Amino acid sequence: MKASSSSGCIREEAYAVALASVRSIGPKRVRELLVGSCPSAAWEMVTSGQLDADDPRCRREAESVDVDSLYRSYEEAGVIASFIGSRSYPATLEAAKHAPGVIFSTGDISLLNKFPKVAIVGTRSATRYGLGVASQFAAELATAGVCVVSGLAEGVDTAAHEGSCGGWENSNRSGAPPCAVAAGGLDQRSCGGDERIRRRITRGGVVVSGDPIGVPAARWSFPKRCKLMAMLVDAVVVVESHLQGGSMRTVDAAAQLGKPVGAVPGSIRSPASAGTNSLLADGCFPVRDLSDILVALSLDGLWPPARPLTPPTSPMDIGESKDSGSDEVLDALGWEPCSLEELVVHLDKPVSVVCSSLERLSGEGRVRGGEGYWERIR
Amino acid sequence: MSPRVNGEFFGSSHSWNGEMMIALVPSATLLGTVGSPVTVEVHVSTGLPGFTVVGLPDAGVRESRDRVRAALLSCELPWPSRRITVNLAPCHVRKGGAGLDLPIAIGMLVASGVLPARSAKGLAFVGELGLDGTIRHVPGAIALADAAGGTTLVVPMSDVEEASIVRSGFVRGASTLSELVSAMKGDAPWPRYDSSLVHEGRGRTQLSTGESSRSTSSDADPGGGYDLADVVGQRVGRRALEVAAAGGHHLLMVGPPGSGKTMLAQRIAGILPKLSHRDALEVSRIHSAAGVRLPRGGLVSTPPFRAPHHSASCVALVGGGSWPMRPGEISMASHGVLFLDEMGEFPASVLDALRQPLEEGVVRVSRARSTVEFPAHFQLVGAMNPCPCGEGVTQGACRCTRSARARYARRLSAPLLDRFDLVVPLTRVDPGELVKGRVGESTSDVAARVRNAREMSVGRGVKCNAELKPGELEEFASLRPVANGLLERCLETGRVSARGFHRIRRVARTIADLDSSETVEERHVAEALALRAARGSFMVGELASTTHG
Repeated sequence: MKASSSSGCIREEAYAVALASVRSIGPKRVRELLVGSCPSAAWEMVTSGQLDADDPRCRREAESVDVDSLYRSYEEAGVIASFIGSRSYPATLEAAKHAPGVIFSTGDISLLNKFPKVAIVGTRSATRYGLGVASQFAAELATAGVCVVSGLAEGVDTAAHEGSCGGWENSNRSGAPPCAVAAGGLDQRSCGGDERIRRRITRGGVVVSGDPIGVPAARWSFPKRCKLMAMLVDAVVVVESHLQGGSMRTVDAAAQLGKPVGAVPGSIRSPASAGTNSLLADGCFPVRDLSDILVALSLDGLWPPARPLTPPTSPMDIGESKDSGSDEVLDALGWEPCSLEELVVHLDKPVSVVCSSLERLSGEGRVRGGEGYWERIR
Repeated sequence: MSPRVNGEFFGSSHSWNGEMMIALVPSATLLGTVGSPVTVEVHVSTGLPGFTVVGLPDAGVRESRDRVRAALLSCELPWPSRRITVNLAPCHVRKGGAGLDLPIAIGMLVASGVLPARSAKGLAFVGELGLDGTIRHVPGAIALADAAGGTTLVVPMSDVEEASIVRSGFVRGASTLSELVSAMKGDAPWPRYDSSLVHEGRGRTQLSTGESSRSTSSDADPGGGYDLADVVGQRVGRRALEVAAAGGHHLLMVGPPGSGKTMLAQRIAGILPKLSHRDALEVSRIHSAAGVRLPRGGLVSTPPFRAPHHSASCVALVGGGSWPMRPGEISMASHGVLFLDEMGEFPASVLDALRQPLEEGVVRVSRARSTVEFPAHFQLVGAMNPCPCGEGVTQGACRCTRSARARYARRLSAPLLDRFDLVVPLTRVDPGELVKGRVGESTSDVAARVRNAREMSVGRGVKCNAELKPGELEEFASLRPVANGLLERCLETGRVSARGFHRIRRVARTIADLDSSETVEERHVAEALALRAARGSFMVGELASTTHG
């Protein structure tokens, strides 16, 4: 085998990559091997057949691996491998018993050891409420210096990423950078999520995955991703979830690890909040604002008290609206997104009157919508 | 010896001794929805007994030999055991259908001397023969009567009303061949048309053809038994329906199963105003050509409502098929409503075939042999689910993947979607409202408002506001400054496309008409904008995620 690089550390990284890509050695085994020895020694054990007592396939498969060219492909893809024991390996994972021995990342993985981390998770088919809450909390957490971790899926995940990217960028990078946990190898297209948001996260933050490159995101990658996320973070916040939503996997994993899980209360009529509401009933801490999350992280004393959230401002603060019709519509709208039909029924006014009030309010920047649903923004 | 033909249009040459007889009988055949004159020439001569039809007959015409023979024998009329040749002139036009049975039979009778040539002078014939000699309904009596020219047309008794629409006073009916023959001979008076007898018999035929113009039951109850008062709630949906009917705008309703899309759509026919005489004539012509039974009185006076199932083929919708080309559903819905339920389930190719007729108001069906133009001035009403699971318009209820939703949304191509003036998301009715059971406005109330609005558009020289051209919009739908500002803001933010701009203005004009307002105010534009919601994407989450971007 040729040495591709002079640095010994990088050589170790190459062997860690090689270990992780031998499919007949499971992640649990990889972790055991790496806890006991450095990657090169572990690789030596595999190729010399010391593991063959259990599984003779390991050696055969390991011998067919070209460590150098394999590692070069990682370098080309810009993917960094961190193995347990190395400096870049996140401390939270070192503590977790079932964490993968090698994790892969693009961006700056070292920041995971610098910031407290909160996972914001939720359903893909979120309501405007869920999306708004996710992006708001994410932005506030990022500004407050808490790294927001989410799963790159559409819906709540995307809103959380967008919020944390925005918070990080708007705070002149003084807050916490964004983080994402991807399903499947990092060279694969993210499944369902937006490619742009992934690039945006990589620019300032980090995207991690437990899968080596070349592994496509399959059905079983998502539960794995959820577990990894739960192990990585210090607390989990579920923004919106259906009763049997995928976010429940993250919740279960976090609960097993004894990490705090918070849920954002939602309308009892909204199917997208059924899961979070039942989590609250089961004893998860309710998340009403940023300070609820900071308390769970025991950070409430360290940061200046959180700003009160933008809504519940009374109309008095903004000043009286021009006509009484608009105020009436605003009152009927409430703080939850509302369809035109609901408004018309509630106000018992002709459609055209309600529409013109809504258009006027939207011109004033007080409501948003027009695609069948309307919501109040201030 | 050479045959001798009378110099008249209708003529026969008798030469029983010379064994050579020719009869010429005028008739007509259908080309799409238009009649084309045909002369049936029957030649009876010596030779091996036989019967040949020439002149591009289709299978139906070729079979007429057996029907004509049986009918003649049943009526105790002679069938000459000679060589019979029937030519259908002009021979380059394809002839289809059984309507040529009667002229062939009359030609035979004249050529074989049973009927004197003068008895058939000035008469044209159209009709299908039964084996017992009855004369049966033929499709397209209106178009056929058009084509009969200056002659008096003899039609089946059941088609007298239809044919009289265009050639009143030049139509005679007969219900059996023997009745016709004795009338022609002068042995009996011409049978009189009795509408009650015909309509009684019609119930039977209707069952067999399985189709009748919706308006058969209609004059008293134009909604076909559906009343808007049955629709509970759905204030926005009802309003959209009213605006669509008042302005002839195309309407798409998007909602979960059970939200009442179909229920609403079925009720649009009832609130549309009656057809003008010209439109009624065109509709009757199309329906008659398609073989649909026309209502009592012949003329279809209420707008047709057609609702083909989503398994419909492209040809079924657009028209065409084997000879004679049949008008498709879009032509059948001309001057009325074409309702496509479960629009997402129609094949994309079928839906996109609607685009050109939607713009032009006609559809030209071209085949190698000929091109037929069918009118297609229809108003499109569509209904579909927002996504495969159907729950997309309810917040947070949809569990479809994004790709599944995108795939479903793509079933309606963007150009087709752009042609809808009104797109309304419907949600299921609130159970509270359903129980309270507050009855909404009835069809007759809404219809009165729609009628008034339509009268205002007629004052502008168009049938409905959907027909206003951009230039006319400047003239008739001038916007108040505030309203203009609102629309301009929407253009700037990209909420309304340049093409959508005119559509919004037309709809706003209609809403102002319903409001009996001369000018278009801000509230009218605001409502027009709201009723053109969910452009391109019906998904709540999807919209939200783009606004959060």
